[in-house]
Amino acid sequence: MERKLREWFLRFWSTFRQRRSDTDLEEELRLHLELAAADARRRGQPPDDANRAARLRAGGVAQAMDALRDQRGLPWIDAALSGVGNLPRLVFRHRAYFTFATLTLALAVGANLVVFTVVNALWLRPLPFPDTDRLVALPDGAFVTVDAPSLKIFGGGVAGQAMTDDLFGGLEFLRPQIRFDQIGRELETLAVTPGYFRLLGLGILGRDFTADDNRTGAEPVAIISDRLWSQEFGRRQGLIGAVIAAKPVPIRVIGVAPSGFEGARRGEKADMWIPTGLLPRVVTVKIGESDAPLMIFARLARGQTLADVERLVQREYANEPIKEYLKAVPLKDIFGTPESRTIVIREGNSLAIIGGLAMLVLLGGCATLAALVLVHYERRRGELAVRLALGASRLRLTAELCRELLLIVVTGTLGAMLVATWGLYIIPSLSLPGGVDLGRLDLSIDWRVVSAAAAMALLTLLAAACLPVSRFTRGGIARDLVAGPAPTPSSASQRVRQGLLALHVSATIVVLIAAGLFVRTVIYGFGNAPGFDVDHTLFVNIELWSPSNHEPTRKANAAQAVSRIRDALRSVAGVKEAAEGMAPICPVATRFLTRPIVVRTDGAERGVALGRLDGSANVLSTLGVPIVAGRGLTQADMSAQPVPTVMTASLAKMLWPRGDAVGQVVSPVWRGGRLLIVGIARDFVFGSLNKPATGTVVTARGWAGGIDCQFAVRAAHPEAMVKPILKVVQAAVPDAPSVKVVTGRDLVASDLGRQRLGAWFFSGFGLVALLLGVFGVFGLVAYLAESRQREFGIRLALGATTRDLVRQGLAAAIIPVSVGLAAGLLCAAWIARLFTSLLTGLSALDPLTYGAVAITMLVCAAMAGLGGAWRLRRMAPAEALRTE
Amino acid sequence: MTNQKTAKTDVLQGTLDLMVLQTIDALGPSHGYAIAARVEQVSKGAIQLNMGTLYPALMRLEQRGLLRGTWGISDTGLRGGRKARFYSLTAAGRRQLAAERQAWGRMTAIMQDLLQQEG
Repeated sequence: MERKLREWFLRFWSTFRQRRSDTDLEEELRLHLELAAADARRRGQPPDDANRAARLRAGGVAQAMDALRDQRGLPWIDAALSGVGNLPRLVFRHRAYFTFATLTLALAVGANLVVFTVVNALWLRPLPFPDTDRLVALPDGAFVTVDAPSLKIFGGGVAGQAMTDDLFGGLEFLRPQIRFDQIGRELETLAVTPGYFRLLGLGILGRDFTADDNRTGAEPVAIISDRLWSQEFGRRQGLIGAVIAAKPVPIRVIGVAPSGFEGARRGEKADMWIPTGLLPRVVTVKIGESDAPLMIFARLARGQTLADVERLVQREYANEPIKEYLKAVPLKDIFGTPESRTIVIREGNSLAIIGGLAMLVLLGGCATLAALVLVHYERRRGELAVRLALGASRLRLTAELCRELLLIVVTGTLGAMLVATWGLYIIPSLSLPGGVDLGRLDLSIDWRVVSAAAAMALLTLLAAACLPVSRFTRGGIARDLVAGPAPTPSSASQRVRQGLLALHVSATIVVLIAAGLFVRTVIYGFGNAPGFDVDHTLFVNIELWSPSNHEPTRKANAAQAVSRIRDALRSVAGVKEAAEGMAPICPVATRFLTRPIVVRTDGAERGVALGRLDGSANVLSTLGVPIVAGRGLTQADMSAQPVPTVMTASLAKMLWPRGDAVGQVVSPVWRGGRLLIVGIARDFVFGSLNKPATGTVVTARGWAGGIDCQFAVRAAHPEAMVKPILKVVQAAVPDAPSVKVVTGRDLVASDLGRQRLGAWFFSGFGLVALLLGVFGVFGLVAYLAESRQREFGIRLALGATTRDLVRQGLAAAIIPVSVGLAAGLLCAAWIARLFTSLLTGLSALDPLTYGAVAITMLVCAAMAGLGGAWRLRRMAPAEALRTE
Repeated sequence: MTNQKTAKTDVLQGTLDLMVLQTIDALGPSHGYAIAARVEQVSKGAIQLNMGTLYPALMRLEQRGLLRGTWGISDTGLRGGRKARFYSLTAAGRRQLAAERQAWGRMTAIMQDLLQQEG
């Protein structure tokens, strides 16, 4: 074994640095021949006969040299390296083929890399702490403390993290504002309960938080991230235990979190953690110790499952409100940042759809590449046959073809990396309000992505090339050449190419239809769906006092504040109208629609998802919602009983299908008694575009005295009004913990986050797939034009026109495109059912979308085909007949 | 292994190395032609090693450290002597030869017994 290893090592080494040159070897062989000839002469043979006899007995020098070269090095590597010098000339000769093949591979693999990286960052990459399968989060546990008895159902323990934004919005006043003197920027800080790191199974360099650190008046302490320690403090050991000068209070750094850990939730990039007990001293508003709602993290006991927890909750708390807050989801399915509410990314279907989509594009790319490679080597079959006939071994020829394919793999991989890098660079800018902020994910390309790119490129090319390589290096093609002129490609070969093209077109159609459906949904969502004037409205949300403010005068003060805000809004130049009233589209509203409200009308009771908008009398006119029957609300309606109400048209028709709703009385089973319908308004969305209320009732009750107040504002240019409005409101109520201003378009954009992401995503993929399809059609038609020149020349000589030839060339491509189109339409119709719930305002079989995509595909295919058939237009019969 | 078709003995696979090592052991440092001529002579013409068989084998044995090749001057009757590559056994080559002789001896004894039994 050792001897063999020595032999292989020397052979491998000789591939790069020969121990014995060809001259050396030839000299030895020639000596052998001379000695053999001399022996023959000594035996009495004439010199010529002696030489010939010597050659016959000893064999040829050329064959012996070949055998020696194979023994000296490794034949495969030799063959690969020996042709490297010829590559530039080869690439130039077949530049169109190499360019198209590289582009195809780069696009198909690059697009998949983008998907792979995003999916890896969002779903697949494990969280950086152990045993994550037993860790869960309670996204709705905001009002539960860590020592609540109900949390004992989690046998493995619990911990909490102060929330700085949630489903309701507006908790940013709880965001710790800590700045180290020596670091210019504000640090992203999370406030956690003492058991947080222990629960996650993380060891701290230094020490962890204790209960003493959480006491009132305890010394301010913090645990910093490994990233902060490296970047800002040079991993100085002396930092642990030291007090750092900071605003608003100096902080003692007691420990460093493990490397790679930046928060329990995906999307967190914490610089530092502090105990929740320190919060009142580091936030900008006055809060009490227990004012911070907590995101609860829990660990399941060994053997305990989420289903077990659910059963426990049902058993112990079936009829108690607490059960709403005990809904747990796996921690790995949570995305959250300090600025956005927690999102559960448990999107099993989406993962399947996105993965399937990426595979479709790769499949399409493979099909196009296979056709390109097949076409290229069919054009060179004459050249390959001649070389086989002249003695080139199949091994050498295969090595040469593999070298060419390897070049495409290398350039295609590099191209895929460029496409992926560009795609990942722009992806964070596609992050949508209310959705997952992709910029918070680690989208860096690491060695695994590079390996995946190279492997995908290689596999794609292997799949595409195995047929041509085996076909065109077999000895049979040499016999074909000997027997007669090179035949035109067989119909079987042509059918293979057309089949591949049809497959690719099908995949492209599916992707484009998905893109079209999402795009139309988004357009509809911005246009017709909301029902109010999205383009000319803004919404202001003000938190009037902090939760820890228990002063008896707070409500009276707030009433005065609301009045000041109202006056301030009306004083802003550019504001046409301002009214009290919440935004019709918002997450808060959605929560109240989950259970139907029983509505009593004369003689009937119904359960409806009822929206209720309490505002000032002019709220509907501010929103741009017209009254279609009866009258609008007035100031006098603010205190009347029954409560004068305007109802949306569909709800009115549902409750009184045969009569006029105006003048009717309806009694929803909630506080607020009886509602007198005084007017009917056009339908508008309340809650969410994805799940709107059945109908809405609007009253002129105004601000109800709660901690929040909302205003709707009408302006010609809402985007330009955001800052001025923010300024005047903050001036009117300087003590308000939170003021938020959003435009109507931002609201709709946030609500349609998933659809917009789908539109971008599918459109991007659709474009890639369409480009690949165009390459495929172009290549197929160009090849047909090239390979059937003689036939076309004969047809021209017999009276056919160039138009006939072009039509024939096009037909060869349009037929598979049409077949692929039909199959793609059917597949798209079946797949679109999976995301019907996301399609607002149109069906999954929307004829306009399907028709537009089909026409687009046919037009692109026709143009690509015309491009490929260009040379047919200029073909002269004599020239074509000379072609062999 | 041979250029001529009939009346020659086919060499069993794996025996070429043994033949070459044994021949060099018998002749001392020799060049390739001498080795081929010796084998042909001893086999009475039954085995003719052509260059495409012999020299790759010599190279392989050299790569395995069983032979050492050095350039010298051939003294076999060519005008002025010619530069030739002489192959000699290394210590490892001698050990390998001894081991292969033993293995060959055992194998031939077993085959002898088997063939005698059947006959």
